[in-house]
Amino acid sequence: MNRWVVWTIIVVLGGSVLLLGGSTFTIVTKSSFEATSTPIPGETRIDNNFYYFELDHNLAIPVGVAGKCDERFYRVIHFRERDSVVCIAPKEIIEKYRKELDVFNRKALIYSVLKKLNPGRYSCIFLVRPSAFDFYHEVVKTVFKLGFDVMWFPLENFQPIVFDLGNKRLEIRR
Amino acid sequence: MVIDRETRDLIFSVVFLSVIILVGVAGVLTTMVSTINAPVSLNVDISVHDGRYPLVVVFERNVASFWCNDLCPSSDEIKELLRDFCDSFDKLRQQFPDLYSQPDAIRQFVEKGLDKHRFYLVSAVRPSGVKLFQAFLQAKRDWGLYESSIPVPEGWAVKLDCK
Repeated sequence: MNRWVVWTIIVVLGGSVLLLGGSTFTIVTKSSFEATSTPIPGETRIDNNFYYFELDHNLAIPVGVAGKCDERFYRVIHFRERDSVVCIAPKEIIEKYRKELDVFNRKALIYSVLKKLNPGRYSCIFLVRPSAFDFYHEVVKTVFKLGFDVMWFPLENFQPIVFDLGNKRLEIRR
Repeated sequence: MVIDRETRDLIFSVVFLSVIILVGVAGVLTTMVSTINAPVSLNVDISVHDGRYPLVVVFERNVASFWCNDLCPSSDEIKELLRDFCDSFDKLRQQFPDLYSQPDAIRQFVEKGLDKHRFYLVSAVRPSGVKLFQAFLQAKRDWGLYESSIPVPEGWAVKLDCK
C-alpha cells in the first residue's frame, strides 16, 4: 500500500474525530444550559377567574378553579366551619396518570385543559413544588404564548393545597 | 521475523489511528461531563415598570437578602435612594442579626423604607427559601407596592438583564 494513501487516511479520520468533538462541545454548551424568564406576580388571593395547576417534577396536574379540585387527581376535604377546602394528590393516583400529566407529552392534560379555557376570562396560577422550579420556566413560556395571564405560588414538598374560601386566600398549612 | 515495509506502515497507521480515536472520544466525554456539571444559568429579564425601578430580594436557605446593585440605568437620585435603603437595612441587620429570617420585620422595613412610587420588588425564590417567601407573601396585605417574583432552582446562577 502506498504510504501516502495511509497517511491521508490517518489525517482525514483524525481530523473528523476532532471536528466531531468540537461540534459536540459547541452544541452541548450552547443549547442546554441557559433559560430566559421574566418575573411574574406571586399570588395568594383567590378569584373565580383563576385556574390552578400544580407542578411537581415534570408533571403538571390540573387542579381546577379555587375550592373545586379535580377529583380524578385530588382527595378533597371540605372544612365547612372554616369555609376552606384542602386538596391532596395521592401518590398512587399521580403514578396512575403519570403519562397524561407529563409536560413532555404533547397530549398531556395541561395542553387540552388550556385549549378549552378562554384566556380572556381565566388567568393561570401555577402552584410550584421545589422539584419543578426548573420545568416551571418551560411551561410558563407555552402558557404565555397561548395568551394567558400567569401567576405562581411556591409550595413546599408534601404541603397540601388549601383554599381559604372565607378569606379568599390560599392558606399556608404545614 | 522480517516485516516488510508495507506491513510495518499498516501496523503503525492502525495503532496511530486507534490512539487518535481514543483521545477524541475521551475529549468528547470529558467535555460533556464538565458541561453537565457546569452551573445552569437563568437569564432574568427585568425592566423599569411604570417608572419604578427594580429592587431584587433573594429568598434562599430561609434568609432574605437584597441585591443593592443599580440594575437598570437610573438617575443619581434613584441611585442615592437605593443606597440609603440598603445602608439602613445593613444598620438594622447589625442591630437584629436574625432580621434576615423574619418576614414580618422585613415587610415592615420595606413598607416604611422603600418609596413605592420609585421602586418595585422582584423576589428571586430558591426552593430553600420557599418557607420564608410564603410567610413574606402572607405577611404583606395590600401594601400597594408593585411586586413580581421568580422561582430559581437551587444551584442555578442568575443573570439579571434590564430590558
